[in-house]
Amino acid sequence: MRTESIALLACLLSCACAGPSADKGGSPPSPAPAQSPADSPISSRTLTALLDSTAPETKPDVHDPHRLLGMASFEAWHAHIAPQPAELAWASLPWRTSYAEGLAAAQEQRRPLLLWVMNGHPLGCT
Amino acid sequence: MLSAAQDFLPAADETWRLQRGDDAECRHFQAMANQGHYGSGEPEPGSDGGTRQGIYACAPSGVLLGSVNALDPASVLTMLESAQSAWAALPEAERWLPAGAGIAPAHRWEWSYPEGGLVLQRTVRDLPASLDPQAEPARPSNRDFVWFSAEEARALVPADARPGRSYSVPRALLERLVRFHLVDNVRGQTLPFSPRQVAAESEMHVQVLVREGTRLTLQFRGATRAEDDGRPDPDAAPGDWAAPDSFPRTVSATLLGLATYDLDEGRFLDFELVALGERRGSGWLNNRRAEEAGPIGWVFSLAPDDGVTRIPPAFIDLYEASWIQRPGEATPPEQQR
Repeated sequence: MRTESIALLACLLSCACAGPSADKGGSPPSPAPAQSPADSPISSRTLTALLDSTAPETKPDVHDPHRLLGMASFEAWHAHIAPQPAELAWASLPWRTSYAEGLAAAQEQRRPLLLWVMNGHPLGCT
Repeated sequence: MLSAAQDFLPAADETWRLQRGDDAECRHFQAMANQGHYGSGEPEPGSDGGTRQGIYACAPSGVLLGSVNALDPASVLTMLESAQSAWAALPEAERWLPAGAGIAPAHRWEWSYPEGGLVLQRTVRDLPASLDPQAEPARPSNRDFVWFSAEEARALVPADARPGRSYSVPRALLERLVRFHLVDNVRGQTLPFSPRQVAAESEMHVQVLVREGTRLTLQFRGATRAEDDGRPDPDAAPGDWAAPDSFPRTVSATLLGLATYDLDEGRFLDFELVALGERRGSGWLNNRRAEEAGPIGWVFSLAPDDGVTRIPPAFIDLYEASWIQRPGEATPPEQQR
């Protein structure tokens, strides 16, 4: 799963960023570091330099959410905010996403329609 | 309850348009829903009869079998069981749409789905007071979708794709995120921010971390802030999003993301962005008090194209993009091919 590769990369980066300087996060991005040779596989030395360019500089400030986010905490916050399994129970039904689509499918399948309507699409932002 | 629902064909939709529109789909819905829990027959002329939110069971013909607007499973289950009985008792001749009956909509925002573009599913949630990500996640959360065309998605990637290169995300794309998606709609829909309410210092940079062949590993970092100070704003959202009063509020965020973009395929293969920040004030319909403030977080993830994720963003009508098909200029997808 591709998300896993992102998670792995985040893990690798967080490991690379760990050490005396912990997470910073929240600061505007650094200016671009020195270029590596164009179109060549990146070397571990260059990768280290790149990571250093965005590496945290101070300990996290647990009173300021803006200063909590960094590579070391990226996965934990992602998991915290992303939908929990219980919040996705509705997804086990094969929803049609409009009334007309539902009517047409119900007619074709010779079944009654169960329609969920809200201000804002129930499967989106309500 | 889910097993009881198996006997039905499940569909979901946005009711604001259905209860007010005058195309064939809307009229069919109104005739059905006006029999339901909020209906009292035909509404007064000039009135939409009020909200029609809820859960309905009906025959394809439009005969109502049951309805309820409740969140507790017991109430919904009771309604479904009653509807099953009503369906069993409904004569065959009253169940179905007549041949040739029109139910087609005149316009759907779904028709603007950005094929080949970047579609993100967004989750927003209040953060714990402890600011500990290991704490139990607060509920509720809310969802939304973010749409970028293929051309806009490419504009999120540095033109110079050499590792180490960094550049600013185009302002228009950043503003789309800040105005419509980095908002506080945890507990319900909120107001968007106008362009002038996005702080000038808001920014997001993208940096090429690694290039392997045609694949780029990108890192996004940013800091944003939007504030409605409560004063009249000539750029405030019109129409359905026009607030009846002033709603001073502030939302700020710090962003960090990782993504993979394939230059040959011209699309993102991965995209994960986390934003942490603070919200203050009420956004009219989002069940916050004016003096309320707290930490808030967002996650943006690449949405699989599985049909259910083709739901339009809440503020799609406010997207300033030429590829959005607006009412009166839209073509159903089957006629676009």
